[in-house]
Amino acid sequence: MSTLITRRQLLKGGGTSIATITIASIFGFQLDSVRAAIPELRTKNIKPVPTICPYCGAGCGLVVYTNENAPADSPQVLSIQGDPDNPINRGGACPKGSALMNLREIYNSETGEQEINSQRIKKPRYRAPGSDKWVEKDWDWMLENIAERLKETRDKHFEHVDINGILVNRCEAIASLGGAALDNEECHLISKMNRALGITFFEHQARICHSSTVGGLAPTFGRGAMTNHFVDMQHTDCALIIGSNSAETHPITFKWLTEARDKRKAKIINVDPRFTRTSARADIYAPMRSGTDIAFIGGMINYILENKFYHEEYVRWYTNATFIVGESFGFDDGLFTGYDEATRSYDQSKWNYEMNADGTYKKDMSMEDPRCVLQLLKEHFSRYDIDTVCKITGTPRNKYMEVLDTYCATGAPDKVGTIMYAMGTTQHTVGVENVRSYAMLQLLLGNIGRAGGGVNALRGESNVQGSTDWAMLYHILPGYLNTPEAKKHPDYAAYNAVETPKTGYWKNKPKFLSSLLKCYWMEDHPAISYDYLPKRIDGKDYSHIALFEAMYQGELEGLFIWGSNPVVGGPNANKEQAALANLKWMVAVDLWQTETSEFWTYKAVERPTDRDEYGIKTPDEIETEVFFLPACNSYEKEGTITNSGRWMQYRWKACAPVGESRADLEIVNDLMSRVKKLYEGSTKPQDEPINRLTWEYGNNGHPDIDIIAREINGFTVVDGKPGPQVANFTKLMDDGTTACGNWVYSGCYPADQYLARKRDNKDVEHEGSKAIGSYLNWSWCWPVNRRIIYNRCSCTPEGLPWDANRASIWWNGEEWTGNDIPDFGKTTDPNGAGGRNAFIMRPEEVGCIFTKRNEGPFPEHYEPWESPQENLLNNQPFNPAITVWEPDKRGTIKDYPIVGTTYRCIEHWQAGAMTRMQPWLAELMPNCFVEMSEELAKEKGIGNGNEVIVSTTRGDMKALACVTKRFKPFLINGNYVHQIGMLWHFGFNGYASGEPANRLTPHIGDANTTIPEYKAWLCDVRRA
Amino acid sequence: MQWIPEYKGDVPRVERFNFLSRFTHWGHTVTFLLCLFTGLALFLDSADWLAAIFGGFHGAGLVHRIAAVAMTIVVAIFVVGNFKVLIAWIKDILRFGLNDIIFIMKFPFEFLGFKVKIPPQTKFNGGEKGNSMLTPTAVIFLILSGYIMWFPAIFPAGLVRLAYPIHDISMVLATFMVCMHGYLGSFHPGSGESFWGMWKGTVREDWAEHHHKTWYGETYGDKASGE
Amino acid sequence: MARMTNLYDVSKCTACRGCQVACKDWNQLPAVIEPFKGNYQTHEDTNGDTFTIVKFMEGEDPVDGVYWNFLKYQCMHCFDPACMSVCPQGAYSKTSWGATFHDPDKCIGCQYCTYACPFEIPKYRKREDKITKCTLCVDRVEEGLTPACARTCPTGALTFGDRDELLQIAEERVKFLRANGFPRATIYGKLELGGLNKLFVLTDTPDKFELPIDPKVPGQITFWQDWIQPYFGWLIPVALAGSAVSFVTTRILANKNGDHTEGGHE
Repeated sequence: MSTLITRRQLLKGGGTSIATITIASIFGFQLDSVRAAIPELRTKNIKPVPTICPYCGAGCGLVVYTNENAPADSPQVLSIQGDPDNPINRGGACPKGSALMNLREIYNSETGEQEINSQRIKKPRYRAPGSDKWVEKDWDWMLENIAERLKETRDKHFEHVDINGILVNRCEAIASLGGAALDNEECHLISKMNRALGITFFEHQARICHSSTVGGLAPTFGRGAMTNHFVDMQHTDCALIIGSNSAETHPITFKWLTEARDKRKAKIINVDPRFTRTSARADIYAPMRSGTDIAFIGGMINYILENKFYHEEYVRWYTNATFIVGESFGFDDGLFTGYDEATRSYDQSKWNYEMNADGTYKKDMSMEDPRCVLQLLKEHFSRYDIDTVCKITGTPRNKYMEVLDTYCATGAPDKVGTIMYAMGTTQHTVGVENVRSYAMLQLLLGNIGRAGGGVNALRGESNVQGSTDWAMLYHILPGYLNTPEAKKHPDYAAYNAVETPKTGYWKNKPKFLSSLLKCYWMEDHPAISYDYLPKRIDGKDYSHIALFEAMYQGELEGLFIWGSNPVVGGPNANKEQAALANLKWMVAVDLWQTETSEFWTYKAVERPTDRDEYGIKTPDEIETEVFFLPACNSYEKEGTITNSGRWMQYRWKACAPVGESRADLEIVNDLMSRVKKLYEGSTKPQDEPINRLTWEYGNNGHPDIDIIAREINGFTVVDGKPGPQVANFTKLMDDGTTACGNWVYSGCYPADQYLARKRDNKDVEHEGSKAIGSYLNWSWCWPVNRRIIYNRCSCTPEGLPWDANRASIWWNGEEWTGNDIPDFGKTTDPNGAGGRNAFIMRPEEVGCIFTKRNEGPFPEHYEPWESPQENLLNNQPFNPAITVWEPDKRGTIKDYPIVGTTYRCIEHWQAGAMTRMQPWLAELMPNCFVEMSEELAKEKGIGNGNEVIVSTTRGDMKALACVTKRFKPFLINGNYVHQIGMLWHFGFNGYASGEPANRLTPHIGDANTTIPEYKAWLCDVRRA
Repeated sequence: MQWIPEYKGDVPRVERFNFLSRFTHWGHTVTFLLCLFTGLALFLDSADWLAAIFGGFHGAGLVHRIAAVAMTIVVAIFVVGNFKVLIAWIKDILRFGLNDIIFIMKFPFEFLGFKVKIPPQTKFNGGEKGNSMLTPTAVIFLILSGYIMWFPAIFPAGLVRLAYPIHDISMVLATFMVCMHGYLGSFHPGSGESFWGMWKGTVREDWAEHHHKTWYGETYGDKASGE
Repeated sequence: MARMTNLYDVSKCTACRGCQVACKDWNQLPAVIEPFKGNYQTHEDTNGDTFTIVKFMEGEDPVDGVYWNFLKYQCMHCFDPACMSVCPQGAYSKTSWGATFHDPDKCIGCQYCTYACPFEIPKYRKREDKITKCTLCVDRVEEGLTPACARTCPTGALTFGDRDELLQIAEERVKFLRANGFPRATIYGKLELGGLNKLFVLTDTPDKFELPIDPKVPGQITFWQDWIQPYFGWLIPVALAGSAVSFVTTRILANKNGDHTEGGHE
């Protein structure tokens, strides 16, 4: 196609020396020997295998080009690139996605040769008590020994009946951590296995990343998930990015925001303590001190209410602004009525609605009653005037005003704004209320349920949405059913009686529980198998921090780690590392040697100073047996993952696993089969949960994905065997005739096709309207393929779109129709009964501006546990409802005058094990750094690139200084307060190594979900 | 046809170049030619055939660098080991005068073989003086610029950029001079005996007297001091 | 075939560096791990195994406050490339659609091109003793694909297509940016060095992106290329030819005169 023009043709007479030409001419040599030098396309005639990126929750598609003829133990990957067919990224890929090849193969920097990444572990490894090295073992030996340890610990510590005589079937000596990077099918099996084993300390990454999202959104909207999806961001008029550095953590968001800016002239607002890559591309950047979101948003709510910028019709019909609240509700000096200082908790019955005699809610549709939610809200936030807010947050007044005017403009009925947030919001002692404040703001502006709107919780792990749906958490069962508590739910009937609301879609809960129990124990009636489930001790906290506190106290014997790295990623990592040494055994499943799997090595003991607050042990003192099982990577196996926008996408297997590594699915299946074998023949009633467990996933240790997927979807049980699949969750029954692994996913495999495998990327528009990027035939999305949830709100009360140019659904006179699947009764007349009850998952069936949370029904600004500033709005030193684990570790400004925070960069991912082991990514961000203002650096005599030590009451951390204009001191209530921030990706292993920033962070959590406070604490910094 | 005049050992001969001078001269000749041909192999588009002799471009590059280092050493040996001769040489060059100008003016005729009358010359005639100025200068530039190009990372970019044309200009100049010098020093009938001067160290006494009258007189004749 | 080029719009770039890695993936380049030096940009310049980098430049404007500029930096594929004009081996060539292609098989690693290039883009790869640089993914483009960097760019800051069309888009974009908060927005690559086969939309003047405002082929190079080389080299053939003539004429004249047989003037 192309011809090469040589420089001789191009140049008139120049070129190299004429002498050259002359001599060459004399000797008569051919000058124009132009070779066809362009190499042939490497991927020509190679069929790409589609996969989904294993990093953030965006769910970008990638394609893997593999040389299938290459031997399994040699390099096979030719190239991995963005999938041009995937609607989310359209071929785009950030550096992590682009570097995906490094998960398996690298180019040697000495020779340039392609080779298997030497960091990948090829054989199982065992670490004996007191040893300082690994010994390679075979799989049989490993799994046999693990199963035996498991049985030993379980049998020793199992509680069949508690002191009250309630069947509890729990084992509190074994914990399971991690799973957010696993496939849904794998999560399902682990969830099932752990529940059968009686494990109550069952936690994973969702606890420490977005638990407060579920805790904030579910009580407000009914579901805890991101309301919209990535492609939809193109429809926004204004994006408020707060508590997220989405350009770095969720790069593809900027594809769609850029689109919105190009096509709609949308504005992007970024609120962040430091000027980030997101800020660089934002129209407005407003700095805000870490931990002051509620003040910031509270000021916006106040501004909206004072100036009537809210979307009145929307608020009237789709929120509980009209509801009348009972007289017992009140608020004074940061405390709501019903507070008990001794237990640090509230009597939430003080905050009830007033009810009519017929059991309906008392409302004032004019929203003028002083006891209606809107008026109470107005009163509550009236203290959040602009000056007070700016004194707290340190935001320059003019910037704050710009944010107010720009974002509040989306309250107009034809304007839509979206809020995008992540860990900057969630990881606080007020994490849930931070999220609540966003949700409330969006309800007031009428931005929920609409294309281009929503509260977009940006999930940070590829399947953390899925793993949360799979309830790899102590407090829920798959599909967001609460786990049984012994006294509260002693039996099946009691559970259903307590847990089932009378209104809203959750009234179907018994059907979901029954089907789940049938899926687990198919041969038993749910009323019986209910008791196989472990029942936790009422009110006991089993969450991440509590788990490690228990481990630190020596209460745990065994631990499973499924691709998780708390030695780097856990809060107060020094304590968590010290806690691991109290275990008898630990099983770590990962691609690499994570810092957690090597917590017993000499490397793990190294510290920048002599300080040791938690008694870190050396290898010879550590008696923990460690079993390391090498797992294969995301494109060496197959399965589905669910992205942040709830799309369940399929990943095909593209090449052979490295060495002997195996898919987690195979590992779980193999392990549980062995455990079942060990218990075979036992007649003890406490072993029934294992012996009766339905565990048949195909032969030869290679579980059949389709069998699992059908179980997830649900089927009718015929003669104790799987019958035909159900169409979706509406077909589930509460009498034990149906089984379903997770009702939320019911509908993903309705007949003979796993809908997650669908790859038709034509965005079909409904006749007479414009397509809105729903891509209904691309993969599948829960619930039942609804892409934007609560989409009833996208229409006027009468059922017509607020904005016809981005119409999601509408009422055509007979039924709801449009460009998305209605998240509403398909034939529910908007003018009939319940026709405007847009939030079907809430008992109130409206969006809840007022809703019960552990620290109150409205958000109130509380300073972080460690804060440089007294609260200017009330006299509470910090959130009055949180548990204080280590009162002696609360740093004060006297010793620690600087606000510290941790964050991520685009080049690395979470606790770093995945990315630090990849040369291409280590190259982009090779060391850990601490960012600080030029002013602070000058004060402390620190130069750019110097080694510095950051200290808190928990420990020290050494890193390199990044002195930058992008961090500025905050003017807080008349005083300058410095803030610094550091990457938390680093650990002692990998091509890029450094010290974990979490050695600094406190063991303190939110009042509802105990999500740890990673983002605002006190520290000091000095030159190393 | 005769290429170079026959060596005659049976006539009186006088020494013209000492051993070290001859050794470094020929050492320089070899290394220079190696550098030249490998250099041409590298820098001529069409010199695959030249490069092939040295085992491809990499071989040529390697030989070029080895020869360059050897050449540097040879030059250093001459400068250090033959310092007196060097000083004498420089002094002789500095004696550039009227007779040398006359020589150069008449040289073209001499060059083509016409019979011309040449005034008495010192040890090096006018042409040789020119060569003695140009060639060593070019070689010094070649060496310096060569090392700059070899290790560009440790020199400023502007200097590296300059090194390339300097290397090229010096190469062309030096090669021009070497061609002329090679021809005149051996095949040109008028200066045939000078080849033996550099090869054996001695020249025929009569030739010395005829061609370098001043030098002969000062060294071996009446004006010779200390003899 | 029309000129095909990249358009890089800095106003859309988030400096994710996906392009930098995608380039490594496609061109099979190993990582070059250098320590952190106080800036996110870990490589100060491209190198033998890094064809493209993203530069990070932060600053503060008294009016607009802090800014953080990003620039994807790589071979500009000049219309009239200095590398190609100086290469002694003819390792460089232009494709009909505008890529400056470097053939590693012909390269002898002399690095002349590195120093001739106004951007010092061609870089030496020690392990092979060769020069390397951005290829504009000729192998991909020849098969109708876009270069790896443009393919991977998540935000659409980097696009690939017909240069004339992209130039029009760029001009529109600059007009838009100038009216929307970037009064100094400009196009780069349209006229510089007689035209580059890489177009940039900048939000500020080129110096704010560490780009030379008026790039020039270094004077030493042009002087040599334009003035010395074409004529100077003639000296060598002149010397050789002259010697040959002399060889013949001296002998003819000697035979005629009958002297010189003894090798000396009488």
